Amino acid sequence: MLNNISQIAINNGGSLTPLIIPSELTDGTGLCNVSLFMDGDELLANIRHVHYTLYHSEFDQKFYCKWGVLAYLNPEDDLTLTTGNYLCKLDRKTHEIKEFINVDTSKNDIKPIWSFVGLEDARVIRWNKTLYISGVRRDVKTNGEGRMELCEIDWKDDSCVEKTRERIQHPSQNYLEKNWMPINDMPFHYIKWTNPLEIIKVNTKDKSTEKVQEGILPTISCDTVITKKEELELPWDLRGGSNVIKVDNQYMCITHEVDFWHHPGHFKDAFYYHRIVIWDKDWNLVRVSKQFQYMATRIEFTCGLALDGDDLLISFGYQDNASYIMRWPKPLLEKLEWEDLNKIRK
Amino acid sequence: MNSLKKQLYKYVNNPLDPNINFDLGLEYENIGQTAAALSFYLRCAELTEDKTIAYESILKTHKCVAKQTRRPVWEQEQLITALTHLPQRPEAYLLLSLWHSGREEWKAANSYAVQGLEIANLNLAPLKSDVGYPGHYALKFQKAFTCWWVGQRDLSIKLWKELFKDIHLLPKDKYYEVILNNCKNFDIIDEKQYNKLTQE
Repeated sequence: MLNNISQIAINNGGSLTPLIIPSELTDGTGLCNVSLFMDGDELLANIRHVHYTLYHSEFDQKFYCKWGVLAYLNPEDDLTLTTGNYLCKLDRKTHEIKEFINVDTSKNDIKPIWSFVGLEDARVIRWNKTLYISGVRRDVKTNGEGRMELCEIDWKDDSCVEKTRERIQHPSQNYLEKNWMPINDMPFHYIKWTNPLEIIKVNTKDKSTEKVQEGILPTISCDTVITKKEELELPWDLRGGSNVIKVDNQYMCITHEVDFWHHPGHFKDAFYYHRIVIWDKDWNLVRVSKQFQYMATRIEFTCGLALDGDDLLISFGYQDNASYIMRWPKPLLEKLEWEDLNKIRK
Repeated sequence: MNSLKKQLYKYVNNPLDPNINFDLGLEYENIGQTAAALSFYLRCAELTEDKTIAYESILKTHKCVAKQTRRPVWEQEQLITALTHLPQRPEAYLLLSLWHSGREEWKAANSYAVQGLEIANLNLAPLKSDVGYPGHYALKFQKAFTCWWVGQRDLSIKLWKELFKDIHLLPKDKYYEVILNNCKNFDIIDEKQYNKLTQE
C-alpha cells in the first residue's frame, strides 16, 4: 500500500501546504478535515476546528496515555467533543489562507444534549448560486442520532452567518447518517453509499419540522434517485469523504475506510485508509484505486477534493490535529495503485 | 518557503526519522499549534531508540497540552509516564512538584522536589529543548517553597539562604524575583540589599 502519497506529490510537481488558523483563536487545539470548493475564481475551504487534541500512539505504542493509545484530549471540565467551522479563501497559487472567518451558528443553535457538539466534517458547496456547508450533527437527541444537515451560509466581509439549517431525512435511515458526499454539478444530490452506489436528492420544497427535547428542528426530505447493483468485494465499507467533482467528464471522489478495534483493556485504536473512486457520466464504475494514506500516519481523513486547472487539490486532516492541502497534478493519478475491478466484483 | 513548510517537506521525505518528527513538532509549537506539535513529538517518542529523546518528547507533549490548559488529569499522568521512562533525569520531578504545588498539595509537591534532588542525576547534560525546566535551582526552589508548607520551616529558611548565596549565578527570571522576596520576608537580606538586587 502507498502510505505516503504526499511524497509522490512534492517530488513530482505537486505541493503540500499546512492550513493554519491562529492559535489565539483555537487554544492550539486541532484543525482538521478540510473541505474544498472552487467557487468561480475563488478557492474556498472549510476547516473543522475540534476543541480537543487527539493523542494517538503509533508504531510499538510504548506510550499509552491515561486513556490508552487513542484518546481525545478534550477539556476535562467539558466532556463534549465540540466542533466549530472556519470558512476560508485560499490563495490559488500558494494555497495559504487569505481570509478566514468563524461560521456563526447562533441563529439556529439549540442547547446540545449529546457529547458530540456542532456540525462535523462540513463540506462547502455552492448549488444554484447559494453557498452551503453540509455535514453531520449529533447533538440534538440524547442517543446521539446523526443526520446530515444542509446549512445556507451568508458570508459578507465581516460576518459569516448560518442563515438556515435543515436536517435531511431519508425514508430509510440508520442511527448515524454521515459523510454523504455532495455532487458539485448536480444540485442537492449526494452520494450516500459508494459500494454499491446510492445517490439521493434533497427535495428542496418538502420542508417540515421535528420537535426534539430542546427545540424544533427544520427538516427537509430526500429520496434515493440513482442506484447501481455493481458491488465490489472490499475489506471494509467505503465511507464518504470529499465532494464529488467532475474531471474529464467523469465523476471522482475520495472515500475512506476504517479498521477499528480494541486492544486488551478495551483501549480503542484505528487505522484509516483512502481511495479514489471514479465513475463515468452515467455513474458506471470506471476505476477504484487501492488504499492509500497521505502522510504515513494511521489516522487521516479527507473531506476535500477540487480541480484547479490540471491540478487536483486534496485536503485532509492529520490525526485530527493538523490540516493540509495537497496539489496533485492529474497525471500523477497513474502513480497510484489501482484495483483490477474484474477480480473484485461480487 | 517558510520554515514550517521546509520542515514538513523533510518529514514527508522521511516520516520515520524521529529527529525530523521532533523538529516538525518544534515548528508547530513555536507558532502555538500545540495539537499538531503533539502529534509529531509523540511519533518521535515512539520512533526513537534513544531513551532521553523519548523522555524529552513525552515532556514536550505535556508542555503542549499544558499550554492548552484545562486538562490537568492528563497532564499529571503524562508527567508520570515521562518519570517512569527515565527516573534518572530531574525535569519530570520538577514538573510534578509544580503540578502539585499549583493545587496546594504540599506533601506531594515537596516529595517530588526532594526526589528530584536526591534521586535524579544532576550531572546529566541538559535536554536540547525547553520543557519547562530552567535548571537545577528550580528543584531547590520548590523544596524551599514546599518545606515551608509541610512544617519544615527551619529547613525552608536554610534553603532560601543557600539559594541566595548563589543568586548571582541565576538568571533574572520569576524564580529570582521570588527568591529575593522570600529572603527579604525572612530577614535573610535587608531592604537595602533587596532594592539593590531588584534594581540591577
